[in-house]
Parts: sequence; structure tokens; C-alpha cells
Amino acid sequence: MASGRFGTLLFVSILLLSGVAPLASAHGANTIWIIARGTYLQPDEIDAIQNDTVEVHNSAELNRTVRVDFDGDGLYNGTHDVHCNLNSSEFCSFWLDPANWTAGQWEVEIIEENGSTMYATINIQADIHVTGNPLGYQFGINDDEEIEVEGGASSQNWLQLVAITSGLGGALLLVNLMNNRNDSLGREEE
Amino acid sequence: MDNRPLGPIVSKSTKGWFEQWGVSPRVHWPWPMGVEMRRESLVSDEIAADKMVVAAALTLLMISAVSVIVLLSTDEAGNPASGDWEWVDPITEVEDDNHSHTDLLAHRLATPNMQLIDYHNLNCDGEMFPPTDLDNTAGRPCDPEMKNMAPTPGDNSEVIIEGNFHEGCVIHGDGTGGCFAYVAAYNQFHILDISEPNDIRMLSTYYAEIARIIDVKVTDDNNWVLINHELTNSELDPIPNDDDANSGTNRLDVIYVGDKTSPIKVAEWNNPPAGFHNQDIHVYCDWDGITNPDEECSLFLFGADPYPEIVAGGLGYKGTQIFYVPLGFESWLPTQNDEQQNSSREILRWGGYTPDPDTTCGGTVFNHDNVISKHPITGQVLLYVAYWDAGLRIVDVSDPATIADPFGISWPQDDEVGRWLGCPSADDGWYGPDGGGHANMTANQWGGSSGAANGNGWIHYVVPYDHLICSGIWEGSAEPWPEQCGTGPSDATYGVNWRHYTLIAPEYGSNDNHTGFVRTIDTTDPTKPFLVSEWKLPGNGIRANGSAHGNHFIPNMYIYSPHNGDTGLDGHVYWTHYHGGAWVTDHGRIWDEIVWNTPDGTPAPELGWQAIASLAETHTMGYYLPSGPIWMDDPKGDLEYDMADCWASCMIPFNWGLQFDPRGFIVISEMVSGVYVVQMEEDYDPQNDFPPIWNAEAAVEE
Repeated sequence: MASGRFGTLLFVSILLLSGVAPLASAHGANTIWIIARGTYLQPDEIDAIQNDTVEVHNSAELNRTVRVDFDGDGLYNGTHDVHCNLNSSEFCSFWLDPANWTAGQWEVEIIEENGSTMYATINIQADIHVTGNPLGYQFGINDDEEIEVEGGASSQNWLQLVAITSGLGGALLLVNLMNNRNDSLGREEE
Repeated sequence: MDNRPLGPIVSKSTKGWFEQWGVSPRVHWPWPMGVEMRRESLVSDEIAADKMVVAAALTLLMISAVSVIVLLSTDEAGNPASGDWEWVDPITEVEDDNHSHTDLLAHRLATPNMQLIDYHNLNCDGEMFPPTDLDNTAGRPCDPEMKNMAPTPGDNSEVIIEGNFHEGCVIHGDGTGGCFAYVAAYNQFHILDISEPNDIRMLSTYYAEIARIIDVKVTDDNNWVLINHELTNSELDPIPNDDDANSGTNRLDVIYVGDKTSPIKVAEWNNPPAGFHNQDIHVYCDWDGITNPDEECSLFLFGADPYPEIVAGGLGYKGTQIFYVPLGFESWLPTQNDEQQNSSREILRWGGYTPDPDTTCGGTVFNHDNVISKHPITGQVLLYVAYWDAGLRIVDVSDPATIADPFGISWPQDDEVGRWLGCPSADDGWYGPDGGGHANMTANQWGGSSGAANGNGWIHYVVPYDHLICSGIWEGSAEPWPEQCGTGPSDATYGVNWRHYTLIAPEYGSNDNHTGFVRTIDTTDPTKPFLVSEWKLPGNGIRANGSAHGNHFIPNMYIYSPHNGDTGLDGHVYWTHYHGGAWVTDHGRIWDEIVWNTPDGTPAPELGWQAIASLAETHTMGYYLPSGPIWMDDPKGDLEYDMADCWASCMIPFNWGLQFDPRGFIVISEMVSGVYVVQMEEDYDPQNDFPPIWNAEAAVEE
């Protein structure tokens, strides 16, 4: 009986522990602003998630160019490179399409006519989503817009698999050990 | 080989492990010698095998635990609201190449835990003015298709919300229920259905040619709206640019809003004794002073007189004036004609209150805002009054006098139960120098221009919590509760940790040193209020010469002054700061974080200020600067925001007030552009899941 209770306790504990980990997290489209003021950016570093939109607003009385070298080739003519020219009070925005923008760090250059440049950093995190998230709503979600990103989700799913299977395996081994001992004792007592 | 009889065989490696679970491992007892060696061998093998199994199991469990930890840590890292985001200070005092107070898009600033849920520019039906036959008498229904499609009327001010939020805003068969917002807007007031915070709908607009509808209040049943037509441009409460020809009149109107699409004026009181800037409304039932046996419940108004110069009744009091409306709502039937209304409407000054001059530290006595609330412990109906340099005043209005006391000789003049000023306001007792009801300031440190320079005095707005707070929860919070909250406020041991707070804040037109403190006053015992925390806009100010200043400040035009606020559920407080946006602070753990100077550090509320070594911190949670619908590229142009009249100090945004929807939403009234529904992540309630739909709609349009 004792070992049975113990096994059950352990089994349930492991299941609960594994259940603490979210099966998935999710995210809806947000717009994140970078305001290019006269002499500084506000903010100069943003945390974004795939599927967000970044909007760079030129609030200064001068013309500027905004660009991102997406493919890192030193040119700004790639399919996913960002390049826009802004007059005063104009803005340009670019969507962090999960199909292209992967998790990582990207640099936005805001260049004035005289060549002086300010830099903003975008830290992009993977948008992880499994429809029907058992944990329910997360802030910023619009379920209609959620996009599954296999690459980003795969590492987390793999970890979940490891957590669950190893936990279950360990528990089963211990339960099995207790049962064997009970059986062994039972035979000896006979 | 040792042939000694075998003792109990217990694996050392497993014994302790088993014991920690309270489980006794089985033991093996000796057998005859011939069998012993074989069994010993078998037993030895069995032990080795068990060890391996246990080791394998432990390894697997370890792997599982590590995986879970990694999963949890990566999940937290992916949450932008986990506190690792870069702080952006949205407050900029001086206009230069970096900042223009009129560049709307340059104010798209918010902390990542804030999210725009919905927006309405408050154009009702595409028109800016009603048909002439409705002017001053009735409102007109709105066209839902015109939401954010036509020019913006603007000039918004107070917002108030009311409804059966706890019932999901359902409208019952008898027509009761629903959740609504009412927005005062200078010549207008607007009614919106906010039952679905992510799809707010404008129901009607009431327009009056006579202006300065600044304040709006509504009865609990959502049937009667009280608006003011304020006539004032006093030194203390001016129109910012003093250039508005339509400065209002001295009048109070009652509007019947039983049909939210057709508000209709049912009564007006011309020339009440004061040109109210703010008023509150309360209904008493079973009051002994009724003048008509048909009156089941009695209506009282609590007006704040903006003119400190007025000496009413020849008795020299000024400030809070209280009115009784005989037959109350029964006299305001929308079916009555004008003549009948004129004969039925009546307003009787029933009482008055002004602070005793000996208790004001000598500063300006000016009643700005009044809020009525039932104290959750004492059950008293208390009037919380902002009285400028006379600070917070708490007046018991539970039981109105049965005989009119128009000059406030005793009611409720004699019923002040508590007050808080930074300076001692009596010679002895709770408010004396050795008492707990002040912050040991001198009169100059507290009031007047010198006090303002310290962020003190000039108390413009007060708002009490509706309920008690304990360690970040309220009585409606899901259990389990923190241990120190026990079973609730009545817990014999832990009941003391359930506290009632009242927030107070000043307003300054200009202040070159400070924007003003939002202070938390412990009013658990309303007869012994004491200071427990204070907060100001975080960050440093920047002077015109580029030098840093220790505080943000107000160069002019009220720019970053606190204005109106509201309280939430778990200790959150919401406050507008004009051009500084809407801010949220956490007051939920104040009681846990006060450092007491008592010998053993235990709380001593009976000593108040005198027992506090260090005030608790008010924690900043986030801010949101309304800046038009973010799905529009040029909302200022598309929706024709009117910056010309400078009612909003010629700036945008300029936030008048807000209300907290207990389902977890903030309803903000921005003076130029309209109403915003915003949610802070920490307020999200899964039971009230209203994610924004504007982004999906915008995507479809694209």
C-alpha cells in the first residue's frame, strides 16, 4: 500500500510539474514605435515578436532614410531589406513577417541627409503558437491573426516532450521497482 | 566469506531516499547456509539492479525537472512585460528639435504591458451639430457606421462609467442592466455602450448651445444624468488661453437617459448658488426628512463651488454646498411639458461645509472635487473632498439633517470626521505636532507657492478605494490568499492587514520644480488618516539649457500636472497627467512595505506618521499616451482633430480623466481626439476576454 501511494504521489507530482510548463505560447500582432526625434531615438532598442509591425516615425524637421540590411549583404536592395525615405513627420513601417524574420537581433539605421546615422536595435523573438492554447489568452493575442511558426515552436515542443517522457519514465521506473519489491516480499513470505 | 547470519539488508543508497518519503523499504532475513550463499548472491544482484533502476529513475526525473525549468525560463523571457524592456520616459518639458507638443505621432508612447483595445472619436452621425430643434433640449441617436469616419468634435472632459459589470453587462428583460460611458464635452455629452470593450458603440449625443459642460455624473440605475454648465474662469480654474467667448453659464441640468439613444432634458436649475465645476450625486432611501410621503428615495447633490471669493449666506463659508431635490426623480418626468417642469423642479440648499480656518495651515481654501463613497468598514456614507491647501477632508453625510440647514451651521459642518494635510493642523491630538495625521511639514512647506514647489498642497482631486486591500488582493480575489491576509478583514490576527486607502493629488498650472505628488492616505479608520506612500512622475526633468533637474516639472499650461484618477481592484491606481498620458501605479503592497520604527517593527496604525520610519514605495506599472487610432496613418488629418481652440492647452494628447472598468479596462477621455479603451496586461481577467479587434479589421481593409 505504501509503495502504491508513493508511486501514485510521484506520478501525479511529475504530471503536475510537467503541466506547469505551457504547451505553447501565443502572440497577436502589435505595432511598436520607434520615434526618431531630432537628436535621439525613443526607444533605441525594442523587443518585438514575429508578426509585430515596427513603425519608425520621423518627428524631426529634416529628411531621413530608414533602412535594415535584412540579408546582411551590405546592400539594401534585397527582397526583405527595409529602405524608405522620410520627410519630416512621416513614418514608415515594416511587418516582421514570420516567414522571413526569424528570432534574432536586427539593426535599424536612421540616416540623415548629412550622413550622420542613429541606430536602433530590434530584438525579435519567435512567435510560438498552437491553436487552442490550453493556458488560454495571452496579452496581445488576436486569435484570428495567430500564425504558427514551426521553427520557433519546435525547440519548445521538443523540451516539453523531453520533460514529459523523462518524468513519466522516471516515475514508472520507481513504481515498477516498488511493485517488484512487493512481489518479491510476497513470494518470500509465502 | 562472512557466515554470520545476515542482518537486515538495506541499501544505503536507497534507505535515506525511501525514508524521506515516509516509506520503509522491505528487509530480508537470513535463510539456511546452503541457500544463503545463493540467495546472498541473488540478493546482491538484486540490490545492484535496484540501485541501477533508482539511479536511472533519478536521472530521468532530473532531466524532466531541468527541462521544465528551461521551459519556464524561456517562456518568461518571451514575455515583453516581464520587466526587462527598456524604460522610455515620455515626459519632455521643453519643445525643441526633439519634441513638439502638437506632433501626435511623436507621442505614440506606451509601456509594452499596455494595449489599445478600442477607440472612438465621438462623432455621432457624421454631423458636428444637431438639427436646431434639438439644440438644448434633446439628444440625437448615433449611426454606428460613422464610428471613426467623420470629423472629431473634441473638447472632451470628464468620463464616468456605470453598469452591471459583474453580470457581464447583460441587459435584462425589464430593460435594466448594460454598461455605459458618459463623456462631457463642453457643448455636449456623449453616451457610449461599453458592454464590449473591444467594440464600443456611440449611442447618442446631447448638444447644448450653452457651454462648459465639464462634469457629468449618472445615477446607479443609468437613468439620470446630471451635467453642469459651469460659469467660471477664476484665477484658480481658468480656461487655459482665456480666449473662449463661450465660457458657459451658471446652471445644472438633469437629463433623462432611460432611452440611451434619445436623452432628453427634464429639468434645469438656473443660477444655483454657485457655478459648479464638479458635483456628485447621491440617493438616500428611508430618509426621515422627506417632504412628500410618496418619496421613496431622496436625491441630494454635492456641489463644489469653484469661487473661493463667494461668501454665501452672509456666514462666510465657501466651498461644499449640498442640495436636496424634493420628490427627486419623481418630479422629473420626461412626459411633462416645460410649464409642468418649471413648477415641479425645485432645489433646496440643505447644508454646507467649509474647513475650519484654524485647521488649514493658512493656505488657500478651495473646494475642487467631491466624491461620495461608502466606507467599507464603518459603513458611513462619506464625502471625500479635495480642498486645495486645506487638503483632504472627509465628511460624514450618512444621515442628512431632517431640517434644512442652508448656511451649513451644523450639517454637515459638524460632521468632518477626518482630514489630511502635510502640516500639523491642530495644537494637539491626531492632527497636532505629535500626532500621526500629517507629515511634519511647516505651513510653508505644505501650502502656497512654496508648498507647490515641493509638490505639496493644491489638492485638486481625491478618490477613495471602494474596498479594502491586502497584499495585492481584494476580497473578490480568487483564493488562496496570501497567508498574511488570513480569512479576510474580520480575521482576528490578520484583519489589520486589510487597509482602506484614499488617493489625493494636486493640480498646478505651472510649477518649475515639480509635477506634484500623488499621495496614498490610509483611511482604514477615517477618523485617523495618515500618509503611507507618495509617488511622482518618474525620471528627471530637462531644462531649456539641457541640464537635468531632479523632478519633472510644469513649464506652463498644466502640461504634466496630475488631473483626475480612479482606483482599481488589486491595489492598482489610474491617473491622467494631461499631456503626460494615463499612468498606472501599484499600491497593493504598501502595507507590507512600510518600515515601522516600532521596537519590533510591527505596524502601529494607531500612531500613524509618528511610527513610520520609511514610507512604502508606490510602484510604477506603466503608462499609455493616447495618440489617435494606431491603425490610421494620419488620424490628425483624417479625423480632423481640432487644435485651434486650445481648450486642451494647444497640445495633443491632453488627458482629462479616466475610469477603471472592473473587468480590467481603462476608459480614457482625451480632450482633443476622443475616448480610448486600454488594457494593462496585469489587469487582464480571462473571464472578461475582449482582445482588440481593430487590428483584424484593419488587416481586412488593407
